[in-house]
Amino acid sequence: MTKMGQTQNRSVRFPRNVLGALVGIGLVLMALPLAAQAQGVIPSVDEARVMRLADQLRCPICQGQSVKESDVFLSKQMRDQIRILIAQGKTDQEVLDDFEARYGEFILRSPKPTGMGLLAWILPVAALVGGVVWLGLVLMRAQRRSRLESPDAGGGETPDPQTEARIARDLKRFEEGL
Amino acid sequence: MTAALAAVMVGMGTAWLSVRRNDWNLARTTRAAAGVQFVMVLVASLVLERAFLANDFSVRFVYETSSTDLPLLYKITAFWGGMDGSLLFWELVLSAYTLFIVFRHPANSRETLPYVLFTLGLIHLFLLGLLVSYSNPLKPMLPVPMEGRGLNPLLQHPAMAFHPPALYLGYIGLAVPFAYAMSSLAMRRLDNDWVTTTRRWTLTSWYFLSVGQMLGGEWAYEELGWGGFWAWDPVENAAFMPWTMATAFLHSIMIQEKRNMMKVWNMVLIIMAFALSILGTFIVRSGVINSVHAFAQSEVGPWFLVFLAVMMTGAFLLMFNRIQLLSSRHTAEHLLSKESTFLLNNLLFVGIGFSVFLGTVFPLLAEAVRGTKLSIQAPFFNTLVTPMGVLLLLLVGVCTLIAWRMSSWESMVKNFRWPTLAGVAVLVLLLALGMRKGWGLAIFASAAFTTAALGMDYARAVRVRKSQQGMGWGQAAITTIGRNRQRYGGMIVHLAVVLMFIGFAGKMFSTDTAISMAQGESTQVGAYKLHFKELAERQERNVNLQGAVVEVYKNDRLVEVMFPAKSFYPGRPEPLTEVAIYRNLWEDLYLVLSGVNENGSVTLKIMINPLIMGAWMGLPLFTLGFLVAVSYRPKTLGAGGKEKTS
Amino acid sequence: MMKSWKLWVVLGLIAGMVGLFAFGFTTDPYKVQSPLLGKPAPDFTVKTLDGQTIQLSALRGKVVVLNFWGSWCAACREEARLLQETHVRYEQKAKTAMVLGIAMNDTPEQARKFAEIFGKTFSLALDNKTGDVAFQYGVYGAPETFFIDRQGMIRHKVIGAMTAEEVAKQMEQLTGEN
Repeated sequence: MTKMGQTQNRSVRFPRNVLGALVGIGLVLMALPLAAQAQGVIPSVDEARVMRLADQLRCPICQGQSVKESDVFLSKQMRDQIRILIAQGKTDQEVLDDFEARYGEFILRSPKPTGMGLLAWILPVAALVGGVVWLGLVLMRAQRRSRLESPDAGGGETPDPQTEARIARDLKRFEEGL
Repeated sequence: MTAALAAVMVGMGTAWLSVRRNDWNLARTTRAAAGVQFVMVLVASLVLERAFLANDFSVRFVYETSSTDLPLLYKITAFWGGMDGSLLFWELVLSAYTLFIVFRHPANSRETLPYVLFTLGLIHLFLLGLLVSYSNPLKPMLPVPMEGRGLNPLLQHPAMAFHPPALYLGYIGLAVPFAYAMSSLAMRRLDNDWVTTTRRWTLTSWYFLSVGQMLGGEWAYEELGWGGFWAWDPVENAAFMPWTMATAFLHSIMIQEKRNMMKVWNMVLIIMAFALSILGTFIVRSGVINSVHAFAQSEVGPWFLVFLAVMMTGAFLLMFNRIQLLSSRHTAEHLLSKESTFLLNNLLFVGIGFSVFLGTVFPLLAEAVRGTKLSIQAPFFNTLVTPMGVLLLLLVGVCTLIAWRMSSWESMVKNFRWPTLAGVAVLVLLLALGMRKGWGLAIFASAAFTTAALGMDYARAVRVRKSQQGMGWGQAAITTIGRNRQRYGGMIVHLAVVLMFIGFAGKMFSTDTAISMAQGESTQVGAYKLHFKELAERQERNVNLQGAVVEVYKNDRLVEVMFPAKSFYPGRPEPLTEVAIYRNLWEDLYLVLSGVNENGSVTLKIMINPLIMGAWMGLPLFTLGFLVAVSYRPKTLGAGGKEKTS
Repeated sequence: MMKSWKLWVVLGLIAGMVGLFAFGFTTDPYKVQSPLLGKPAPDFTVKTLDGQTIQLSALRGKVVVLNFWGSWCAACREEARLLQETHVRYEQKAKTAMVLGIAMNDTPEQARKFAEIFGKTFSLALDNKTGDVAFQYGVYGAPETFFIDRQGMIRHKVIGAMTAEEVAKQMEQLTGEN
């Protein structure tokens, strides 16, 4: 119950809706007198780089969206922060590290290839490679065996010529659709 | 009313179970039970639906998901707009399926029926148990409110009206081959009957699963306003995982049917497919995995988990107990054979399924092991799944060109010559045009290869038929398909897949700009000149839209007037984004209203998504292919009699 | 032999999966632990609504309750009174702590109005347009509250509206009073 309660509380914080909610907060914000703060100037930097980095960060209050894709106010601010960090001369990795230091590894959209995160990357690849190797072995063994047993027919373990002929016929029918 | 219904439902569930367990000869009772049970569930569903139509807010579920001002379509579909109703809908479909099985079960394998019904009965028991306890959609609401809370505005979209039922039809449909598989195990029958009997069930459920996901993608694209259709959200993954297994299954049962191979493997696949569809529902409903999608967290989560565990354990125990009966005498005989491409296909689908599963549960695992959260989102999945997807696309072509059992090098070279050339030609052409996106190139080249392979294969069959039977081209083209619907239905589906891949590839080339425009200003984006004419307010159904009227010119000709907007739903202060899309064959112009500024200017997010039409056009073609394929009946059923082509 | 070995692997995997999800029930997917806990609080300077300049590092020696809020945030209303009580008890009377509210995505007018309605008299400031302070603290919604000890270390973070017990426990620990 507390869980749900908190969740609901959260939902009214930034109007969390992935879908914008910009008139809600946005309008209020746009109405902000820009001169209110001396700082908060958005430097102009290479936008392609900003977007590339923003695509590697998750919008923490959205569903599956990156800081690049999301239209909520928080993501806008995060994009601004990326610009500020870039303007400070930081490298891509340093920018990501900065975000990680504040928001936790949670903010990165794919796990870092170190420690536990490495496992997430390795397991699928290992499973696939293992599968291919296993498949290859099974096939090779089968091929060798079929050669040994009936070198001319290639018919595995079906020595019965009638069956053999039927299979061949069926397959041909299947192929040609007759 | 509710209580009575609930009692009857439970009574039916248990009675039914014991009937079947005790006496296989009580076929008539079983039938009647299935009938009564279906009618009961149907009545419950009708009562709920009536409550929706009559705005009867004394029913809690109606209060929670509907309101008086909701358009009729969404009142009807609000039925599955929340968990309780979804479960009831699920149970309704399962009851209908069960009834269908009872009456249409092939006479020649009558003895399997009780086993099948027993398995399905267990699922019924679980669902009905939930429905009468934790998630009763007919729970009353006191005092009766005047107005409902309304359906989540996000769900008020045509695709969303049909996306969940399509998915459910798919999920539940998988229960049927699963039940048949279990009964063939229980009966120690080692033939392929269960595969043949359920072929259409499998195909149909798989079709609905696929369509459900396509509709989901379309919904995301049109409603969520970030210009994409697939976010690898846990909930999407939940639907995708059983699909990968079902797809692998669909392919590998062909091997079992044709070559009597891979019996154990198919068992594993169908168990996994069904288990993952339960897991999918569990993930969606339990809120265990971080997703804003996740609907209300509720008490049913643990029960789903228990059911899942029991079901999987039971199925695997049964399978391992009978494993010696399942050993197949055949394996693929040659590396260069159609069989091995099927094996590779299965490996890739399972590989994709595993990657997605891992990516979905890994954050939880990481948290359990080291206590801090991490995220796994699109970049991870794209990196892993894209290569496997491209390989699969390529494999479609390879598989078409390669013969069963064994291919000789000579015939291989002969068959592969033209498709390979087509692929390479496209690759060279695109490189020459300056395209430098690796996976984009790979997809387009593979698509060309595969299309050429499919086309060549078909053309050859048509030519053979024409010369053998002296038909005209047109007639030959149609009868070729008609005479081998399984094969050419498959071909059409594969063509649809190629189309969709082209759509996916197009997404890699989409551009994205944010521009602020004052009223009367114009801006050039790609081939389009956008002119911000004015701000406007419109009323549509129950929704108030406030947005910008944007005229789109191409080559100085007005081609479209677009209206990206914010939509205000009754009783919801937070507006939603209403995307405007101008579609043509080559690309979509996709406008999102980011905000209206103080001085009356608007900030627009403008995306151009090339070739995305391919992804949508895939759907009708996919459906056509499915219909052709499903109209084929396995030989065990249709005794003689030539099928007429339509 | 092979058979039972495989069976055990499968059963083990099922059990592992069930265990993992069962663990999932015990965690709140919306709660992300801040990597800043136990780290020195990032320094910043803000101007309060009534014109004072506050620098965080100048507050060493006092416990700081740093509350990120917004006039648009519903859950912030719930805890406004609690924060005010903390302010009265520890800042005005005991003078061992300070409560500082930083409004995000807000206007001075709205913020003042909110403070008036909910009787907040403690120091309130506005974050700038690019959200520099909020970013330093990895804030992604409102309310979020940081408890900073006398040495300037972040000791605790609360996401969502706080409860009286939670605040009391932290304050007792950090100020050593009760």
